[in-house]
Amino acid sequence: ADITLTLGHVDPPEWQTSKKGAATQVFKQLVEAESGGRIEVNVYPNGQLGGETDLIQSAQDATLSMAMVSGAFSKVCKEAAVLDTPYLFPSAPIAWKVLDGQFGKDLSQHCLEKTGLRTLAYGETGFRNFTNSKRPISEPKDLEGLKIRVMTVPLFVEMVKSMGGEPTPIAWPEVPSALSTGVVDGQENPVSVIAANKFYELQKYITLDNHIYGTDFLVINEAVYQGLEEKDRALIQRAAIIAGTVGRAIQQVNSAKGLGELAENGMEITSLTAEQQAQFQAAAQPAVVEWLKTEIEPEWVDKALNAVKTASAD
Amino acid sequence: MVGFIVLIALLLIGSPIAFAILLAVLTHLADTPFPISLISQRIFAGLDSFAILAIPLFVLAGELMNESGITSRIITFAKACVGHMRAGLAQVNIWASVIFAGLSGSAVADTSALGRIFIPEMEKRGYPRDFAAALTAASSVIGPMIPPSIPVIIYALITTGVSVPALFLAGVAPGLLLAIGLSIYVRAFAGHYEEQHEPVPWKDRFRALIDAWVPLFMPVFIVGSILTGIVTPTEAAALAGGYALLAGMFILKSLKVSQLPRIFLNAMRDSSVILIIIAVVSLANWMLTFSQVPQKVSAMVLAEISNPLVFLLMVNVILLVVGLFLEGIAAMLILLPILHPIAMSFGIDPVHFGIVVIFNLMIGLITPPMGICLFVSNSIANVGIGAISRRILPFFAVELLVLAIITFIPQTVTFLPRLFGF
Amino acid sequence: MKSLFKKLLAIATGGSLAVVFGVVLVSSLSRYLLNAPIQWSEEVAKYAMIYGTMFGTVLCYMEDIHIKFGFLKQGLPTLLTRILNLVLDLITLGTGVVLAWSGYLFVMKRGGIDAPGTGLPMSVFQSAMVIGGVCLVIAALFQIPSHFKAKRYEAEV
Ligand code: NA
Ligand code: NA
Repeated sequence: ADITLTLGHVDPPEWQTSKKGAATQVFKQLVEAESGGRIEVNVYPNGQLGGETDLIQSAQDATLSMAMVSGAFSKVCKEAAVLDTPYLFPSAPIAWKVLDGQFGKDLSQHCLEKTGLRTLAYGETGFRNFTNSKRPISEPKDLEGLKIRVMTVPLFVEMVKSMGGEPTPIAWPEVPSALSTGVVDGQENPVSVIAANKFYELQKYITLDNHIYGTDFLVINEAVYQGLEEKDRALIQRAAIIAGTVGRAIQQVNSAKGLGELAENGMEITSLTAEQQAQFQAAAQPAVVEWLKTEIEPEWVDKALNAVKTASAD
Repeated sequence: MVGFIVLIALLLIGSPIAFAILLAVLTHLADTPFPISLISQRIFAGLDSFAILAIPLFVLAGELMNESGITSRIITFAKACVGHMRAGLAQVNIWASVIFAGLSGSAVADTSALGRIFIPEMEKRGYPRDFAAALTAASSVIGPMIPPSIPVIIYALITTGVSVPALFLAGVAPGLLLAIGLSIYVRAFAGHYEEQHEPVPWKDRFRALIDAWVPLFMPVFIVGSILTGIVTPTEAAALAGGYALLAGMFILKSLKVSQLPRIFLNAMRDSSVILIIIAVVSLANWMLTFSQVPQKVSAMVLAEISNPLVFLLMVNVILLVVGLFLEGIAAMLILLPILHPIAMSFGIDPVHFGIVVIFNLMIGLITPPMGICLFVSNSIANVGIGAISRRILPFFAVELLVLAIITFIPQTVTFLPRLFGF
Repeated sequence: MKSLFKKLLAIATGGSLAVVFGVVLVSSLSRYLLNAPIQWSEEVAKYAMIYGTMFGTVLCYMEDIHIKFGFLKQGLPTLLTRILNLVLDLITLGTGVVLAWSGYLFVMKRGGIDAPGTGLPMSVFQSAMVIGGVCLVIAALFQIPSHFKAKRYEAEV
């Protein structure tokens, strides 16, 4: 091959169970086949070449050509954290519309100027939901007094606090033991993650409140991208969008399958009515929005909220 | 390729392994698109893990226990239990190692602590000095098998997803098998050195047990707290250190505050010997992974070998040969990233594979020309590496036998973790 | 001078482990007994260990306890051994320079991101590479002249 692209991510390589695994495999196959072997794509799954923050920085300094990451992207482009605003997206299709539309393009452009990383496509890690061992949660006050494990990320701490829960940052490897010994009462994650880690053995209740929509970013180092011929850039852009779409699809498949698994294993599933959903939004969104506006350029928060409004109105 | 030649050359002239790997990677860097900052970046990333903290903390706990003068109580207890058997003092040496193994994570600590006492005392009772030195080194291999264990922590680190408590439990039976094997050997072949004596009365045995409860409780405490899921291995290591500190100062009353600076220094200094290798190996592995070397080697092996038992046998031979020349943990760090994925594609139980690898490399600690326990034992006995090496041959044979058992009967390793639901 | 340097290294090495031990012990007790996890504990403990490893590595070099293939040097003539020892100290000097230089570039490139637990810039922790490298250079510079001194001494005898 004339050109070798390297692409790292932290998920397993299997396409059936891993959204990043599926997305990157599709990207590799498409690019290698359609370039007639001129371009080779080496994918490094499982965090073989480093954790998310490490990978994104490696893509920035061209140690790697590409990376597919989720939360870590906002460490280098703070404005991307706006996507983590609680209850921003009412549904996945709306999120797709916003991210694939003008807002997604603007954010991508902004982050490109800031970081030298071009976002080729958006995938998804899925909506996050609360689970706990104590009681069903159908409105914010049900969270009061519950100790909820969160990532060591200030936005998540703010969010749980504003809803009345007690946020407890715990490192991921320790979560199962923290749940089983009652160090925390609950946690929050996408359904696919909850099912894959058998949290139904440790938690009784899940509320499908969809508080945060997790986004995947498929990024490429801008210098590497510009170093390609026009037709190769087009090929890579096209393949990336297909890859992102496949990632979303696999995530949706595992989410749907996972929900069935949770029910089968005796978890009590609470779906929210529109009013209840609005209550959660009213409790969590203003506090986090206010906090976000002190952390990032404030206009981005309004831009995102407006984009969702427009997309929902269509 | 140039990097590989530089590596061999530097190792041959006796450069520290850590420096040799670092400089070899540096020379290889020229053939890659990477900037020189990659070196520090990967070294830093290689150590940037909460799990690795367990290594210096377990070394600290062992050091604190050892400095509390706990060794003499262990020996008294072992004497009370097995001192009356044929080849009594040799038996005591072996079983004291078993108890000591519950405090310390490494074999070298065991050799140096027990050797100082047993080598002169066994000679006094009629054992040849080189025999005593060889037995001390051979029995110290039990140390890293029975928890806590530094090699286990490292194995779990390299092969993410294998649980430390499962490995800790899995090491117990091989450790005991080794003790039994050595015990049978000395009973059969070393009985003539020492006159046999009366068993200690049960009352005195009980007294010795009471006196030894502090060290006896330590492994129970460590494994128990991890098994119940209350703490992570790293936290358990810190708690073990706290336990050793409190026990040494207030129960045994033999540890003084003035000793602490030296203990902390020694523990961190000895740990950094291993930690710096972990760091540079993670750098080298990053390079190899980037060039897809492990993937290619794995494909090659899978194309040639189809039987998992043949593969295990091959691994044992490779590791035994490597163990002749290389310190065990360093060898594990260098070889596992390549061997482990292959073992997994053969469907070998990762816990079984881990214990086989660790046991094998720990045997390397007693084989010349590079056997650290051999060196430490000789530095106490002063009989010459040659003399100890000849004496160690039968013990080596016993250890090979145990290795064969745990390799080909996986249940000997896995039944205990299974019992606890792993 | 050299003994002062070694003493400082010893204090830094032992002190790092004391920090690791104290922080991990206190934070696990605080989490399980008081139900109040300490957010910065993991970072402080990890990075104290990295500093400790760098200082300890320098100390191990000065005390000659690093893992290596030592047996290959047995039985060589004294002069050759002496030259080899000089070469080994030069190798260490080189290692120190590489560590310090690549560490400097590393910090310049990636030091900007804040660590989530402490809120401190990563450069504070990443500097361990630079400091470790510099200490290794200093240590090697202390060791190298001894070979020439020893040689002259032998010639006089
Ligand atoms: Na042990
Ligand atoms: Na050996």
